[in-house]
Amino acid sequence: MTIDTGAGERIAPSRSGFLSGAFDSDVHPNFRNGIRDLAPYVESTAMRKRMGLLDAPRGSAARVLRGDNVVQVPGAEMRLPGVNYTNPGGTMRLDAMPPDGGPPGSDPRFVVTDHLDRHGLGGALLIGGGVLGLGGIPEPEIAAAVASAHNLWLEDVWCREDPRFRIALVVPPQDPALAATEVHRWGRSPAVAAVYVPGTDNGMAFGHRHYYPIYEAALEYGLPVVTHPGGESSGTNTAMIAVGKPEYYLEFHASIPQVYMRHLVSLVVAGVFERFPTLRFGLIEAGWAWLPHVLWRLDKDWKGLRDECPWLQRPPSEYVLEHVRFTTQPIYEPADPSDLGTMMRLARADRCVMFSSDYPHWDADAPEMALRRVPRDMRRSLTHDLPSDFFRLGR
Amino acid sequence: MSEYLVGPADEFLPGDRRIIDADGRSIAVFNVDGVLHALRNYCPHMGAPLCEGETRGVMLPGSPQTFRYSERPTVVVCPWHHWEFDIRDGRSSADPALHARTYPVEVRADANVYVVVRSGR
Ligand code: FES
Repeated sequence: MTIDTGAGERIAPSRSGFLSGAFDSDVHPNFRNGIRDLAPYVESTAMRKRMGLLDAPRGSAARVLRGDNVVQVPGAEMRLPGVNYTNPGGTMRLDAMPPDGGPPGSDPRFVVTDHLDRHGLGGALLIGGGVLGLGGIPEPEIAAAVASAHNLWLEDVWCREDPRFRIALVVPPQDPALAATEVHRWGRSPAVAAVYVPGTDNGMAFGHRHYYPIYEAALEYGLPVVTHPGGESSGTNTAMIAVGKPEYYLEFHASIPQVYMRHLVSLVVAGVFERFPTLRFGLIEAGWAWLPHVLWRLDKDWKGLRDECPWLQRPPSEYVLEHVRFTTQPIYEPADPSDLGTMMRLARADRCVMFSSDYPHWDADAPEMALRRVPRDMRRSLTHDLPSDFFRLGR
Repeated sequence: MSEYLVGPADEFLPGDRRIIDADGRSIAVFNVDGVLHALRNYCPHMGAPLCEGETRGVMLPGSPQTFRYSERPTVVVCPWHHWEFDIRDGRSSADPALHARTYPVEVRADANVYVVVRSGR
């Protein structure tokens, strides 16, 4: 069978258009050889033993790891948890495969040309595709060790390739003290744009006091905290949905916003933004079109339930608009495309929604196509102003 | 109307696909079970290079909790969001109102395959 490809027509880049210099709040760098990519960055022999990486090379030798050159005791290598549901088509964009092979998103140079340069982007937040399920690793110490190695890998392999790549510093939600240590290690690095707490499902939504040491640490360096779906249905986390666990990937995937509605309500009602009045919190890939409903209902109920949470001095929606940011992908596609602007106005998207692509995942948005229905007067806040303010870009 | 040469017909085996540039338009020609079909290499959803996706059979509709799969490779699956389009008529499996652009394919007397593009399409 011959498959002869390569003459594909591509959407014209928007170098001079509205995406020029835009910041993409969700790009996924992926491993080439799984956890073995992290081997050069794990110092502790004990942790190397636990991760099954004793025989792998040490030191900052990431580029040596291009080949499959690691001798390994069969079955000893740790497997990083991923979503416990199988997408029948895989979860990566086939056309995002690097020219010299390897998984989509595993070659920094190709991500620069295929994504950043193609669309003229000014920067991108790197949310590690291999650690989306970090919250589903049962052992907190191992989760912390994976997180540390992953952050070093991002800096060494990705940020060195192009300074437009900015790190979402992954930390283990399992153990906020270990997470805070990781934040202190990196807090002043200009490569870091956010502290990333992977989505998780440990019975505690993000308003829970369990997480406060992470928020405190992030605030010491003026960093926002972001989260992203994946961990809720990975590894030891299995039942992400309140009323019963999904049976199909479609159920899991379409129900993701339900989880983030809960996190949002929890953050506000617990008074996180009264306790930490300068905290900025990003719910990445969590959706936003549901905001009009959830915020209205929160405000309405709060008026009659203030006795329960007297620490809330203002209507809940005001905390959200001030402190929380959401991202565009997957862009909503109403039956009448002109309704998108109405939906965005109802969600007050000009105050709280930032542009994201989710490159190179299967459900990624093509930036120009996705944003072309966004009313012109709302585009710049999504692509430039809100991310610049949220991530303190250029500061 | 313009015609574009794809190549010798006898080199085109079942399962093959060729992607040609037709004056800036990318068009794929597929051989499905011995019959040639041409589709625009541009997904009507968000503009992905549709025809660089996997070609495969289709899961057939049936009653809940039952699965039947037809192995005849009649659809191409978009490499981005996995929407399926029938290679023979460009129709989306999920939304009959949505279709990828199709073109006539002809094998001429010179034993070559040509794609025919009517102006503006
Ligand atoms: S671009 Fe083809 S399915 Fe979305």
